[in-house]
This record gives sequence, structure tokens and C-alpha cells, in this order.
Amino acid sequence: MNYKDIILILVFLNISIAMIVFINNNTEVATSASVYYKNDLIMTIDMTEKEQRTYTVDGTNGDVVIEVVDGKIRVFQENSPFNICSKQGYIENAHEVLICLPNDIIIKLEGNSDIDTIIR
Amino acid sequence: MIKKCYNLYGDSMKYKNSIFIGILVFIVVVQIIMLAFQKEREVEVYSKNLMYMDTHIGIQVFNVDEQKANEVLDKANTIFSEYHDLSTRFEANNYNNVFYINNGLSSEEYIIIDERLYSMIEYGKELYYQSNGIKNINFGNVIDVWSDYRKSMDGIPTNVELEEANTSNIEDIVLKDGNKIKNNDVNIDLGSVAKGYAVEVVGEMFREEGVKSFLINAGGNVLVGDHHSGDKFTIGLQDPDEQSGIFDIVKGENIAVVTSGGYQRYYEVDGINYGHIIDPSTLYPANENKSVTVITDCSKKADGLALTLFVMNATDGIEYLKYFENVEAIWVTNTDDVIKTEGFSKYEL
Amino acid sequence: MEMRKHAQIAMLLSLAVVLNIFENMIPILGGQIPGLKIGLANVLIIFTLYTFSFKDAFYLSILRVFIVSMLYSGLFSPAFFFSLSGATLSIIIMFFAKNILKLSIIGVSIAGSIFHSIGQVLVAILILGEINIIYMLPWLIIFALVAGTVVGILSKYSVNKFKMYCK
Repeated sequence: MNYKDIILILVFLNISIAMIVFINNNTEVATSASVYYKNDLIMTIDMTEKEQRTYTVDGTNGDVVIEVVDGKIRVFQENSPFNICSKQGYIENAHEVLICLPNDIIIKLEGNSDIDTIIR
Repeated sequence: MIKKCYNLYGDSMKYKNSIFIGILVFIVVVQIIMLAFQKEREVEVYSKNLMYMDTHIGIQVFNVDEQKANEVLDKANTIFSEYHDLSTRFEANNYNNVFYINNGLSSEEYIIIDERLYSMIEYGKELYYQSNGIKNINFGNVIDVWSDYRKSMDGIPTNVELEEANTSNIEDIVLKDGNKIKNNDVNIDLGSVAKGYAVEVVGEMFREEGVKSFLINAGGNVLVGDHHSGDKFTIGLQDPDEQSGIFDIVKGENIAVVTSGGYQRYYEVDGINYGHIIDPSTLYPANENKSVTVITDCSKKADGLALTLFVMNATDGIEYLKYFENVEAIWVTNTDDVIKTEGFSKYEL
Repeated sequence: MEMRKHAQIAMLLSLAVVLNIFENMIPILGGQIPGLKIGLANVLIIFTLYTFSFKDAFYLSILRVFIVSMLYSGLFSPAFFFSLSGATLSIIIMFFAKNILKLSIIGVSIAGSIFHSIGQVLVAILILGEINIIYMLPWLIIFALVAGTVVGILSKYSVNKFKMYCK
């Protein structure tokens, strides 16, 4: 370890904490989730309903089961070598994504939660 | 050994490096403090959801302690419930309410009514003149004809039926002394007045109680106070064609935003959509616009104007608004054009 | 001499592949952040960079990606391109860090780890057209700082041992 190493560590620590501060400042709770299969939108899920429910979509390796509960969403079951996306667990903030590469499924959370209310 | 020590303190490169590292460490520490601080910056919010006047009402108050919040939210609940009871056409209750007035026998007698109901009816009459008869509170008969058809989903009323129903005149509503109304065979419908009126009363109550930051959303009526963190409230305007969509966003503080029309508040017969807002001049549902949203400083004013503008076409509406100060509006016309008043953009920043 | 070098590199390559596969099986932090791994295979890349040459390390790194991809996600799948770009950017940055910035072996390893993440994320954004993946980057970088240090220490140890016995 020399001085340059420490500078390298600190510079990148700086950049990433700054990014986290920025992201936290702009975090919104998601109001809807879009499910894409090979870049085609196949389903939109309302995230504002709190009750637990599951959806099943077709992935490349078979069924992908999505669970929504209490404003959070996760991939509950899917078939892939490392099960990366089902291990990722719940996501709940707008702009977070769940990516199931082997199944070509992307779940993207969207929010208009900087909106205080919607007038109907 | 000695030489090494000498190098460590004498080498200017390394000295500069340690200043640089010191600065970087300092920045990291500042950032971590910022992160920790961020978590605590959450705004205290208390909310209440109510169901009155046939609509869902959401109220939020910000930056007050729990006791105060509960106190004012309970008060708000009481106000909405009382205004609901006063203005309902469908049930009798403790008050000499609209139901009581409408179903009383015609005579020359005066009925004593609650002062709040009196001022609502008075305001309703005022709106009639202001809107050249478009907003008519003595229009319950025609509205009833339409709502019977809407409920049964079976065709539309005929011209004759509508003409027969359209007998009552605004002048039949005779008010006296601040609390008396003549029992004059009227069919008052305060559905289009009471909501905006009650929202305004609740807003006034909040301000009197010192609750400056609040948000009330009663169906199509939104009233906001000061923003809780010095920003502006953002209000999404729902796309009339798509339930989850928003076609515009308005931002502001201490404004009332009211939408008339809106998503799927119509029924369909033979491929034609019939809305719930009736144009008094044709006796048929107004079909110029899909939705009209009005922004101004006062909820009851916004409510009255939104309905009036909904019945007019947008061009006439813009002309009409020239008689009013500090009112902006946005139309979604039946041909899906979005039209805004000139000053509307100040709420879009 | 040539033969011996080839044999050594082939051994290093197979070790790298095994380490890579081994790592894929252990989710780190419960798998909360996808793609998170220490990068133990990087020990062998750095080892090659220090004991052989940049060229050898480069080939080793790329070949490893091909072999692991063939075994798992399949060649030319999105995951393959993520790994390939991560590995390429990482080895180039490590060469740069070693020979031009003259960082220590730990610094080189950290730089490699960080840019492995950056390369992967950038290509993931390009291929998936999903800019929001960048929200994971700060966490990946912070983890890379730790993982890079661990890998760096291991590399330093193995390079020293090698130089002690094999020169």
C-alpha cells in the first residue's frame, strides 16, 4: 500500500457515497411495476395495493413467479443457473430493477411519487 | 533508519499527498454525516381517510404534533359529516336538510334551516347568476331522470321526459333572514356545491387552528396549504382515458385545484358516452370536454368554475375566465386536445 | 521454456475458471445485489500480470470469460458481454495502474475490481437499455474496494511466494 492506493480508495469512496446521497435524496416509493420480456412490456402491476398477490409470466426458462406484497415486489420463483434474481429479494423504490437475465425478464419499478396527490 | 525518517517528513511529494488524503477523508466523513442526517429529515404527516358526499376524502396535515393533528383531523371529520348531512338529497336526518326541503309540501310557509345550509344555497344561487344559468342547484328533477337511466343502464331519456322534469326555476328558491327558506316545491341538488364548500370550510378551520401545511383531496377537489418543507405540492391530473395515467402535473402552495369530468364518469349507450354533468340549456350531458381542471385560491370558487367551464367549449371558457382574476384552467376536449389558459404555465414549473 | 510457460498459463487458466465457478455458487450478502462477488479469479490474473506479462494476463482474462460463459450462460448471451467488458476494462486499467500510475499490487487489484464493476454496469445499461441499473453502481464500487483489497493481499502473497521459490 502506498499513498496513491489510499487516494484511489478515497476518491472512489467519495464518488460512490456522493451517488448514494444523491439516490437517497431522489428516492420515491414505487407506484407501479412494469414487466418486460425481451424488451417487450408484458405486464403492468399496480404497487399501491397492499394485499399479497402473485403473477406468473413466461420466461425463457419457463415460468417466472412474481410476488407483490405491501408495496414491495420480488421474483418468487424462476429457473436459472444461479437464481440471481430470486435471491435478490424485494425491491420497493422507484427506479429499482430486477433483472432475470437467463429468463430475459426485467421488472422495473416506476413512481410518480413526487406527486403528492392525484385528482380524479 | 534515520534517512528513512528524514524522507518521510522532508519529501514534499508525500507531504502534499497527506494533505490531499486529509481532504478526501474529510469529504468522506461529511458525506457519511449527510447520509445519517438524511434519514432524520422525514416529515411528520398525519392523515385521515373519510367517505362522505359519495366520494373518498383524503386529508393530510404536516408538521404538527400528534395531539394537534388528531384534534384537527377529528374536527375535519365532523365538518365533512355535517356538510354531508346538510346537503344530502337522499336521507332524512337530524337537520332540516336538503332532503327535508325537497320533500316538504309546497306552501307559503318558511322553514328554518341551519345557517351553513342557508349560505350554501345562497352561494349556489349566486353561482347560477354568475354562470348564466349553467350551474343550477334547482335542477334535481332533471338530474334524477338521468341518474335513473344511468343506474338501469337502459337507454337514454326522451326529450319529452326531460322537458317535463325541467319545471323548476332558480327563483323558486326563496331565502330570508339568513336562516329561512320558503317551502316552494323545489328540488335542490347541492351535489356540485357542497364538496367544494366543505373543503373550503375545512381549509379555513386548519388555518385558524394554526395548521399551515395540509392537503385535502375530496374527489375532484384538492386544496393545499403551505408545503411541509418549503417546496411546492405536486398534484397529478388524471388522464380521462386511462386510469393509471397522468396527463399533466401542477405545482403550487395555497391553491385549490378542482377537476370536473374525469376518468370514466359516464355511461355508454349505442357507442355514445353520456357523462354525469348535464348542460341545462340542452338537458343532455355536456359533451364538449372530457375534463376541465381549474386552479385558483379558493376551493368553492374553483368548484363552481370547473363545472361551468366543463359545459362550455374551451374557446368560450377562455373568454369567460377573463371576467375572473387569478383563475387558470386546463381542458381536455372531446377531441383529446389539451388547452390551457395563458397563465397556466406558472403552475407547471 | 515456451512449453513450460504454456503449461503454467494453462494451469492458471483452469484455476481461474474453477475459482470463478466456485464463486458464482456463493451469494454474497444474501444475493441482495446481483453480480456481487469477490473476484478470487482476479488473484490469478494479477499474478500473471506481475510474473508473466500484460499480454498473457489479458489472454487469460478473456479466455476465462469465454470458458465460464460456455459452461453457464452460453456464449454471446447478455451475461457473457457483461463479463467480457468487465474483464477487458479491468485488465487494461490494471496495466495502466501498475505501469503508469505505479500503484502497489493492492492498489492495482482495487482498481481492477472497481473497473470490472463499472465495465459490467456500462454494458448492462447499453444492452438492456435500462439506465436505472446505474443505481447499483455505488454499492458495487464500495464492495469492490473491500473485495479488491482482499484480492490484492492474496495476490501480493502469492507473487512474493512465487518470486521467492521460482526465480
